[in-house]
Amino acid sequence: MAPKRPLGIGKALKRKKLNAEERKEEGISAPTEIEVQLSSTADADDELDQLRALWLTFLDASDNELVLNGVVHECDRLLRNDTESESKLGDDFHAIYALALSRLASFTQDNSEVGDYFEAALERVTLGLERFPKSAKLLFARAAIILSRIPLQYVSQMDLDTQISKKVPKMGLLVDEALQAYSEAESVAELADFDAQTFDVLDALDDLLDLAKHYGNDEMEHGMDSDDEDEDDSADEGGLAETHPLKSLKDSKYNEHWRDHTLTFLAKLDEKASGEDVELKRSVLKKLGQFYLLESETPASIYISLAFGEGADEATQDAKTAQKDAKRFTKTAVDYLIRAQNPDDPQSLVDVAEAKISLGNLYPLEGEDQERLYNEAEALLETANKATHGKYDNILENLRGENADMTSVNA
Amino acid sequence: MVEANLKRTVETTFRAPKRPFLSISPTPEQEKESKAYLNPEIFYETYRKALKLSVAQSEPYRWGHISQLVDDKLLRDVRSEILKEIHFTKKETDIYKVYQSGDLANLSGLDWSDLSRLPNLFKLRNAIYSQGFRDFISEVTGCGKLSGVKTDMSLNTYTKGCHLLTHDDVIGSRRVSFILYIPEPGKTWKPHYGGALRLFDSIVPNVPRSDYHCKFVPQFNQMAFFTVQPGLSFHEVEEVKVDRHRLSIQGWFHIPQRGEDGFIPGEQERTEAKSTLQQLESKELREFDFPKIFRNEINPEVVKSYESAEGLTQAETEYLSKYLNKSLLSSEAITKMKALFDQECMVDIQEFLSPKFADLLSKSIKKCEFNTTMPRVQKDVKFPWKLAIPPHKQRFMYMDGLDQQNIDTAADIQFANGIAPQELPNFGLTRNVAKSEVDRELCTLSEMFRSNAFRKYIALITGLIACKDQVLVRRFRPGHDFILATELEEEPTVGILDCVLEATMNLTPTTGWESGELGGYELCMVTNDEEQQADEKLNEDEAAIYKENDDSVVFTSQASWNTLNLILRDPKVLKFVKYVSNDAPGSRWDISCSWNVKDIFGKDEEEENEGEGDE
Repeated sequence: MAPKRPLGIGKALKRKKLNAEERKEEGISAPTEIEVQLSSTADADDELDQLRALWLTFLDASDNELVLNGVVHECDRLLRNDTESESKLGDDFHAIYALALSRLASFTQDNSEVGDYFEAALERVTLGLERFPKSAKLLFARAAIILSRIPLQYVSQMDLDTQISKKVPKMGLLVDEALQAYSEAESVAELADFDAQTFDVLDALDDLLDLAKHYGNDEMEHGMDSDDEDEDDSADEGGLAETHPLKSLKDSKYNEHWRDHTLTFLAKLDEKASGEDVELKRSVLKKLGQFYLLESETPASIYISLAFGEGADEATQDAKTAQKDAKRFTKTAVDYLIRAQNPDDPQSLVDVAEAKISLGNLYPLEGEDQERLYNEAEALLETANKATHGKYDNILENLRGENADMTSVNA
Repeated sequence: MVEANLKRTVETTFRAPKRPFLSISPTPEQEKESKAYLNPEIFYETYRKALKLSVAQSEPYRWGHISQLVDDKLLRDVRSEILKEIHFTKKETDIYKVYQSGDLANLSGLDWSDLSRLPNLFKLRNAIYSQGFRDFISEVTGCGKLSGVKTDMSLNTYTKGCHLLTHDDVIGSRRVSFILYIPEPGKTWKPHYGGALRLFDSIVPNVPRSDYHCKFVPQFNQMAFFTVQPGLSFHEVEEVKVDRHRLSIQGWFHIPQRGEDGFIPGEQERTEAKSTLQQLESKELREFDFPKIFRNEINPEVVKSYESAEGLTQAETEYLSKYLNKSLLSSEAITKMKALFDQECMVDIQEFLSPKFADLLSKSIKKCEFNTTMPRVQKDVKFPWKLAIPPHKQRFMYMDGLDQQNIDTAADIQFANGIAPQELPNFGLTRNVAKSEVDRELCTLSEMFRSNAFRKYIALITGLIACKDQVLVRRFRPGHDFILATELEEEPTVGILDCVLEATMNLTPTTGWESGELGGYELCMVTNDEEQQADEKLNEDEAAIYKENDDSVVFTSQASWNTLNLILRDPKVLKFVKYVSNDAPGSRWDISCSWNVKDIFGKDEEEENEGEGDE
């Protein structure tokens, strides 16, 4: 007998759909399957290892509400089946449960529900801490929950006229609370606790400070690949009223806290065995590089206006001090960005090139140092440009002083 | 100008409503007011004559542009109004990605409460379709009279990654296409932002050249326009490369309708018939398509050996394990894959190549990407690579194991098709002339895909016996390459199955493609059933939009490293490779194989059921 005629993917799908419809008519619905990968050290029969794997699955695909609901239901179940006298649930269980509850807030449109989820999450942290008072995981979780609560529950409801009130507190107070939890966690954490999830907490703080800095600037954020040479960037410093809940986050102390904790985080990664967390380390180094570049902006612009503006005199003390500070910050940025370089990532070469150009701008025009830095930057950009197939053409053209036609251009 | 005859769409939103061409003519007062909204200088004789001359002398076909067309304040107000009041929906098909508004044709049919939300847009629309401006466009283009009642406009915003690939705008009764650009006022839109209007010359009518002839970098308050010319007016919107809004109003002037000045009985029908014919001709014209979809016959004696195969011999296993992951060659693995393939008619095999070979290849591809300049125009594509054309169907680089051929002009193509020596693919020869390491390794791998051992291995996994094959190494470059959706073009042949077995060996070493935002994915979808097709026929000038996670999508594969997708594709399945974004970290690389397979099967179930019914 001849073998059965194959259908082809189109007909196979049609048949599958027909079968599913028939099954539906019969009241049978196919279960949704989610693949969960256990870590190599996990015990496939251990319920807590399964929960950890499910949580990591959610973190890898963060928009999957189904997986998140699975985590919360599993936490509920484990908690119901647990006996207080012989509890098997460790601090990481409570941390996962609390973080999962807080993540539910992203999936609801109802703002009162958003608040409820964060309350429930923080309550779970508190209950966990009663049992494990020195748990770094729970303290990091508290910091993470507070930092994600600020944009989701509060900033989403704000406008430029919002005032500090009982309902919308000063955001600085909440960040202080998060930083306190983070500091406590940092002091008791083991090396293994300094992982990507912990760095997400510092990242969330960075995003929040950035949000506060640009709040009220409704123009679209332009990317690094755009250019703003002829544009007014002063909107960055949007004038928030003293009574606005976000105003307190413009205090420079928060940037310093971020820097200090990030430096500690990097030191902990350095303590770990070599070869581990390579990508994470690159992210941390890149962030630090960007931080120092931002720090250099103010002294650099003071120096450039004193040295090259109207009635310029770069020999004044103010110009020299500004130049010295700007150079110090920019050199630090270059160092971090060089360490963050990834041979497979052209953008990391561009980051170094841009920092070198900024540093070059702080040296005397067309002097040896400036030329050297520009040449180094150009070489990096050329490599990146090849790798990205011309993405940085215009930056290279600018660097070489070439101009692109702006109207109708013949091929 | 969004091409509106697309019948292939993935992801996003809702099925677009039918677009009625309804309008109420402006009153004489509105007509008088309308002219006042346009720059009076454009109506001066000197301006009109100069523009007419410029359009007449333009290349590659008749087009022109007007700067400072609309009253500056009005256009700024229009922009604010649009951003405040109009909701844009992301629409993505094989040919475009854009955020589009609903249709504005029947703006004057809105009720007053709605109209009050868009008063400036209403004024602008009346100005564009006013008698004065239509006469102006008619004069400078020499296209004949234009309709004032059949208006046809929509709003598009192109943000980073948005694009619209090459098309000619020929649909129904369109006579002139126009785009009024409204990016941020007071700012220069720079060439490196992308989003330019690019115009293409043609090799012969209906076959655009691969490289654009010229481009127009849009600025606030500029209008570009051209006469819709069947088979000639090919153009595209370059991908926007930065985080900026390139907002535009686009539309068409149609031929005059009954009762209007310039109405010619039967002209609409003739124009529409011509458009349809042109579309058909363009689709059917395969002479200018490269590479040719042509599968070469495998020696029938050799084919017999695949039929009788029960497993791989030791020698075959040894040969294949030089390239393939050893664990996939065991009989257990083959049985497992066969069971999957039998059930789904497709199987994705991860870690397909051996770690040693994969590592070597990955390093060579990365080295090539980092250290050599990517060819950006046709003349830069050097043998053994070739360029796939024409660009209203496809653009990518490929190696096919065949000799060098010149396809620059119509005469070159005629020579390549009809006169030049014909030969069978030989990747071994190609490898010997290839200068770069990566080309040589890709040729070696392609040879393996054409080996008897591999065909036998495929027969064991699929139960299908290959009798004809084609293997292509492909490279899809960021900011350039794609394949638009096509159906299989198989002529029914006795003894050969109407389905085609296809394999894509994914060889993209860069990361970050998973979300699909960078394009470069391969997608299969089933064509609509008869009912839907009939609906589309009625609605031929509207893009067909399908729901997200549409049931019609049967297969998606993001650009990835070291995965083999094996599918049995039936005739009604459309397949495309999405345009690779300029922002992609590198090219999509793959080897595409296809096999005609022997029909050794019994009747299909549908036929059997029909037979039973007859009885």
